[in-house]
Amino acid sequence: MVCIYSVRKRPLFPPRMDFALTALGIAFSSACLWMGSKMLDGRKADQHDMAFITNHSVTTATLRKLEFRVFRQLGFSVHCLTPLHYLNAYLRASRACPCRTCEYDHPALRHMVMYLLCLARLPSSLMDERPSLVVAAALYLARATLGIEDCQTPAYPYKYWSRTLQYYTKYFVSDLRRSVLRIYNYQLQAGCIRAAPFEKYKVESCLQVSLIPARCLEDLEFSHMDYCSDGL
Amino acid sequence: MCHRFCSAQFCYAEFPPVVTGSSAVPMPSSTNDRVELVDIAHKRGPEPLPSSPSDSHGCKRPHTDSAPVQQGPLVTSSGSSSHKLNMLSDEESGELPAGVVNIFPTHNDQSRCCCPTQPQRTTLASCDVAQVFVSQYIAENLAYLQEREQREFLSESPTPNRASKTSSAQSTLSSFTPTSREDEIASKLVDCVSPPPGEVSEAQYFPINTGATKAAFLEKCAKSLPKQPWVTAQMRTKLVCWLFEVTMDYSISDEAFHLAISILDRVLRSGVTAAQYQAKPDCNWEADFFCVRTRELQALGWYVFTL
Repeated sequence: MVCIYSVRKRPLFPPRMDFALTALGIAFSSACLWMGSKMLDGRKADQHDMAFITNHSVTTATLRKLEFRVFRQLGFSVHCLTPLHYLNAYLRASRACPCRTCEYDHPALRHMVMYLLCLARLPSSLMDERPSLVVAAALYLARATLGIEDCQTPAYPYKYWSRTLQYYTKYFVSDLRRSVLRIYNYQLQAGCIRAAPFEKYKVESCLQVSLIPARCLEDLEFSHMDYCSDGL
Repeated sequence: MCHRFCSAQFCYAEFPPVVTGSSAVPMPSSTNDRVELVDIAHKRGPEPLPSSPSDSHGCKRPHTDSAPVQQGPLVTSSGSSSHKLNMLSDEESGELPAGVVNIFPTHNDQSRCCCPTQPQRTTLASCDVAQVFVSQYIAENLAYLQEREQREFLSESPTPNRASKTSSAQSTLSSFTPTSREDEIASKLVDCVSPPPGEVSEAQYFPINTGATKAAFLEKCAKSLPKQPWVTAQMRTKLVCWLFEVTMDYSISDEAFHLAISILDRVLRSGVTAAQYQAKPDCNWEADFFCVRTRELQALGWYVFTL
């Protein structure tokens, strides 16, 4: 007989239901990852591998059943926009410079944005945000972390954002503020909570972008936005 | 004028946009699709006023019914037109506002290319750049509106939940109603850490890796998600971390990972719970998931032991 207890004291929750939902989350996430790999990867993940990563608590037949369940729940419309659809265009807009003198592609910018996008997947508060807003916020935070400033004259009010980025992303800095701060929290805490993206992006091939120290909160230029009554 | 007063919100609030005669005339959308697309692009432009109401997520979107803005710097009586953020452009004539670099060069626009060393784009040569961005915006907007409609429909429709039949579970569910928990997490965690200056090392950069700080951080995440009274933000975070480790081990691409997370969020947002799953006659929950494994449960924060 197996007894399962929660770390947190929530005695009103039946343990069986908690266990059911925990296993349901693992099973559904495995099915979703399998679906994504089948749709986008050239070499798709094997269903036996997907069953193996759950330590065979989910069988392959259950995985296929859950896949059909997800398809039926979503009405067979599983294609959706992800932040990576906007990444190349926004990076190109970030590299553009009207004076053409400081126009260069920062070697760590793409890795940093990818790292911040993976961190942006962790908080549940960014579940409902637009993917273009998420990638624009990650790009702003990456430019602030790497110190990439705009050299345009007359100067843009915010040094880590430019008119070209504002034109092509259609976002002002005030639109990005909430999302940037949410990603910034996880950038500060990533090493503390041992997040998996932190472990991936601290290797040499990714230029160790996760080890680059984050900026102070005052450097993000959000301190004067006092008119927002959202409590931040 | 200092930079504090140069933000677009202040400028638009101080000086309302000037409506020109040519752009203010509504074009018939049924006759020409291109006119409709560009018109939507114009509607996205101006920043809302600081006192404008925000949507449910808190992010202030531009007004959809606002008037188009005149091209070029606005002429005002105070003479501060040089600091206006002129983000709109006449995309029909290919004009970009001042200070904006064209990042998509075409055949006729080689001189304004920002990347002269890169090869010329031939796939999008016949396609208008503005239309590409507008179509992306429309596709994104459609998905957003559909999700919003689905969310409102699901919130209005009574979802049968087996766990809510009991009184104790009902009281627990009502006490765990999610209200602005993201704001609390975002507001309370901002001032936790400031990175130390100097040499960068992992042990030096993360000196707060103590049990108390970590527990305090995880405690703030221990609130249930909307439409998922049994799933907390902490559980979802661990789930996403575990999925990311799987993508690292099995060399699954980042695109597949982001698509999987999007699908998983949509499934969680649609309100699938264990009770609903168990209530389906064709899905026998106990026969499917009764095989108990300990590693993933311990990874998700449970103590498992056998008697």
